Amino acid sequence: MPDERGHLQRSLQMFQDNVRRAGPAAAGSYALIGAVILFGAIGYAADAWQGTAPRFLLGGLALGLVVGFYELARSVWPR
Amino acid sequence: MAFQEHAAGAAGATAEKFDAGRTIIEHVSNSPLEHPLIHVPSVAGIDFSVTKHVLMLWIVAALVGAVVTAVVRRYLKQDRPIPSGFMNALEAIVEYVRDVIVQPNVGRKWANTWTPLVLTLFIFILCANAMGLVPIFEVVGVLDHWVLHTGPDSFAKRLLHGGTTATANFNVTAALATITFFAIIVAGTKAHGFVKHWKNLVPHGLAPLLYIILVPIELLGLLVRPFALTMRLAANMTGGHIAILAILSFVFMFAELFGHAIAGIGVGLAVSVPLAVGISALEIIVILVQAYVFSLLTAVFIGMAIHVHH
Amino acid sequence: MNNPLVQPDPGLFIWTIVTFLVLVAVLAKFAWGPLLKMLDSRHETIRRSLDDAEQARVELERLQGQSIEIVRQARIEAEAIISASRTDAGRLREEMRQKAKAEADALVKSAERQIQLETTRALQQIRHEAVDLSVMIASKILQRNLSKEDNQRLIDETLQQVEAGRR
Repeated sequence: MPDERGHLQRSLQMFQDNVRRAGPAAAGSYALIGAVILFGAIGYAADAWQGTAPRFLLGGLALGLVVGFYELARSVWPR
Repeated sequence: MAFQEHAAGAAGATAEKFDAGRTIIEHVSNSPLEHPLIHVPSVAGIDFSVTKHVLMLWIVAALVGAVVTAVVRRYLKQDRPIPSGFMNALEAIVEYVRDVIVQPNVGRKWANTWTPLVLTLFIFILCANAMGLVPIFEVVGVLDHWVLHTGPDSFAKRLLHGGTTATANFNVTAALATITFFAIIVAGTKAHGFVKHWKNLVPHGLAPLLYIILVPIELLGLLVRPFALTMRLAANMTGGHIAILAILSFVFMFAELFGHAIAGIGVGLAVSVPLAVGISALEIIVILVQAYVFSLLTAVFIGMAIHVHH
Repeated sequence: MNNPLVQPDPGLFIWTIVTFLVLVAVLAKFAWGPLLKMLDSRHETIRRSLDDAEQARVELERLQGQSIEIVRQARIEAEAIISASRTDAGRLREEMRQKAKAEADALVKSAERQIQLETTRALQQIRHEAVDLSVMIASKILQRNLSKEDNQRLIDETLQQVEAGRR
């Protein structure tokens, strides 16, 4: 019985460890997606407002990629 | 979740042809602004009406505030600080948040300054997430349907519209991320002064040309981080509920497809309910992890503003 | 933007911020603040009592070592005292024996000298008596009074003869 409990405890510890280590990495990946979506959406809204069909959307997506990769790089290689 | 079936059935299947998409959206989104729970006149073009998610926030906040304060007060009144019962768990959470989430990121000097904020974020988000798993309003719906028989626009009926998970609404998570956003600025300002904090955003001693590229990227990055927080929490909370509701929708879809309630109930018993139970169990982990990640990242960002590495 | 999932709702946004800030303020003031302070003070108490226990343990160890040292020292001292007194006693006994022997020797020697002296004196006396006696006898026999000087010479000659004869 104590062995079983130790096993469960170890598993939980492992899980928690993984989540903790994955947290910043998840921040980076989400920042990448988030940047693309955020700036893409801003570009889309600007297009809809100004009636300049794909320009702002494309620009926003490109900007999102740059900012997103920058954030990702920052979280992966902490200075 | 069985109650949700009833409610969905009451809302969809009996009235007209069952539209799974519309029903699911109904069940995870906020109650419509046109039919708020309590109507409040709008101020400066902003509608401050109390919708279902506002009510949920209030319920969670009142519950957390009252329970935590009462437990802590009673605990501190003892002459010997030995925790017991619920206080044990609360103290474990408090110590965990302080020693594992806040202190390694923020540092010993600022740990006690930022622990209350991160702790509140963690417990508030956790409880708001967990609230979504408890079908309280579906119970109200069943009571109303079978016992109370209130009118079509009664408070009880209005309570049924919309999902119960406030944190699945990106307006709510955006507000929480905004608090994180300002907390980062306040942390940097407190530690380094206002001007120095903004200067710390970009590394010192680079070629001037690089600054022209880096400064805008860093400023935009400032916006991206809270946006990522917003999206992750809302999307995760919405996703799980949509999955559960979609699986439960099979019951009605199959019932309609075969024109018989038995088919729907059979599919429900064989597939939908076990799957929904499994996903609900998974959701328990998800609500914990999302609350954890939100508070952890808040602590990480605050720590980044305080400890600037170059 | 008709999908209610992504419908912007500034009212909800502001309500959330207000609700959360109120919750943070209330909890920070009434729950987290006092609780964190208590946790810190308890942490301090535990650390201090552990330190105290450690200190007491070290002190106890030191005292134990000290007492062992004291006992060891006392034993050494006692042994030293015993052996010193043993040698002292031996020396004293030897001294006393020597002294007694010397005294006895001196006593014997003086007694011997006394005896010798007495003997010599007695012999001398006897000689004088004998001389006087023989003089008287001789004068009586000779009926003639020799002069005092003759007499003396005669005595001395006779004594020398006697002395020589005795040797």
